[in-house]
Amino acid sequence: MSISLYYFLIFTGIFILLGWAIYIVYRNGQLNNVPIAAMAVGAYIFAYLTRELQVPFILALMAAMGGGAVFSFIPALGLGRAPAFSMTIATIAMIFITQTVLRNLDFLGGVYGFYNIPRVDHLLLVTYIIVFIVGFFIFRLERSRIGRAMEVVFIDPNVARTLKINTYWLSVWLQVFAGIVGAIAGVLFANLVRILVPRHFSLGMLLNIYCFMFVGGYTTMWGVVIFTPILWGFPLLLPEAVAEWKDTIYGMLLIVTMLLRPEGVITKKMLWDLSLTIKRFFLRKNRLLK
Amino acid sequence: MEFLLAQIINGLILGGIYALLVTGFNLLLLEGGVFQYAYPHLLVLSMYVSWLVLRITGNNLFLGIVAAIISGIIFGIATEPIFRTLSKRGAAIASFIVALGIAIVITDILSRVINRGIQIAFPEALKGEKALLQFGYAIISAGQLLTIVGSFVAVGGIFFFLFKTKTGRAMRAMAQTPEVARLMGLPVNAMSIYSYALAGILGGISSVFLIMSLGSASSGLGNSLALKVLAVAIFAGLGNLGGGLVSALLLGMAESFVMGYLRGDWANAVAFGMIMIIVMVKPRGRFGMKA
Repeated sequence: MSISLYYFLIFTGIFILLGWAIYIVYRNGQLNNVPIAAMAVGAYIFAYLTRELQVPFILALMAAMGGGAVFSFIPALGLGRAPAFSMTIATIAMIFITQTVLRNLDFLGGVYGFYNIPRVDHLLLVTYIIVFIVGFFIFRLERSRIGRAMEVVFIDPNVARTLKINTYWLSVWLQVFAGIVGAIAGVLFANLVRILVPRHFSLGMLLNIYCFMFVGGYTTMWGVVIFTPILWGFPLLLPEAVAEWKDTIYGMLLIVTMLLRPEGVITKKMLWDLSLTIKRFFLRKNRLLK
Repeated sequence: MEFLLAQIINGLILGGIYALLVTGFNLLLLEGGVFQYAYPHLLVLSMYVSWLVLRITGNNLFLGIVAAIISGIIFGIATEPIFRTLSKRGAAIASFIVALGIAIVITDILSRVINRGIQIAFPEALKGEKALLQFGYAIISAGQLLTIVGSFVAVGGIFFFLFKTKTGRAMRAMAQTPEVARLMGLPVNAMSIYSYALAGILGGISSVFLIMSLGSASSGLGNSLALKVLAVAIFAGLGNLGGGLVSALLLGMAESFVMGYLRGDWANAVAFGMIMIIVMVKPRGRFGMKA
């Protein structure tokens, strides 16, 4: 496998995880950007434990997940009640606070970065095993009672409260889950790049993830899965002079999508219609065979 | 003592500029429920237009200032049709995402096209660095004094317009209950355009004061300013015009003191830490939200 394809596939896996982390809270009607900050926390915890203390991969991964959980739980206690806008901005603020703190912590390399992070064997396989496990968990979660509660909160939080759904704790736990997924993405990122610099975890990365999620479609988890490789991959196929304008292309895509197809390209209804068509096709085929 | 005075002067300058910006931002939020994240980016674009005009006209300061203000109004009005669609749909989060898209495009274009992405510098004459008052090491230059006084006069003017004129009252009525305002025969679309033009004027004036106080601009300035403006708006309570002014001054002072007394780049962290605390303790802002 070529090195560029290897990097492309792992980055795609990492972005899918981050997209899901933002998606799962958005399904509850809130736009939470903590996963990017939690990614930084997870990445640095993992990097420090593996390089300085020689902790094995699995233990360091669990510690990073724990770090991500605690990191997202404390603000979630306050943000659970915050209006959607306030949460969006407060969590963007968290990205900047995290960056500033990391820049000023000398034992983590400060602005110069943290180098020589050990890489786990078979990183590609590990990445996609994790993507599969997280994806399966979200898939089951959406079809559970919690998933239905999230759907109600997304459509009308007042109706949700009337139905005795505890919107506050639902929001808190989803934010914690998002933080854990963000931290896992951070661990994979640290393994891949092996050099952590605070500016990696910036608004730029968040904008990429927004583009994958909102253009792909925020009503289903498959929007991120299908559109992350497409949107992340197509600049690689373009001539260099055009590919340089990746951010402008992403920005234009976001504007056009929100104006013309607000739910994104892949919608729940589209998937439902597609599954019905496939079912009908097989039913007809079976009848013909009989 | 002199150091303290210098920090107070810097705080007033920052606070004045933030007050202008947050008033424009809140105006758009009140009028159409639009979360214009790209508002400061449009302002930075105006700074770049001013810089281009200065270069073309051989540093004609008057034309440079006029270009900044007029381009601010044009950019403001140009975004109105985009947000009107979202405003009618009541798509608040979508308006934030679209604004984010506009912000990305502006930042990317500025970082590649104009001056090959290199930071632009304005003529020294525009900065007005001649000392008017001096208290030991603390100096108040003409540019600084103009920025402080001009910011507060401009914000005062906007408040006068909104609260004392017929058009201003109509705009506030639109912000409070659009349906009733429409039933009373108020021209909804015209009011919306007025709001964007007014926000554009504030943006244009802010860009002039930023040119005077910073003396330079870069493509990343938009993002940095946007987060400060949002910090102030959330600190005050989204859409709260009066609270926005007080919060702008508080944030300006806090930032100035942190920059003056703390090592490293903690100023932004303090500003954003203040948002985090306010959102967590008082989710609707220090002064409460207004519709």
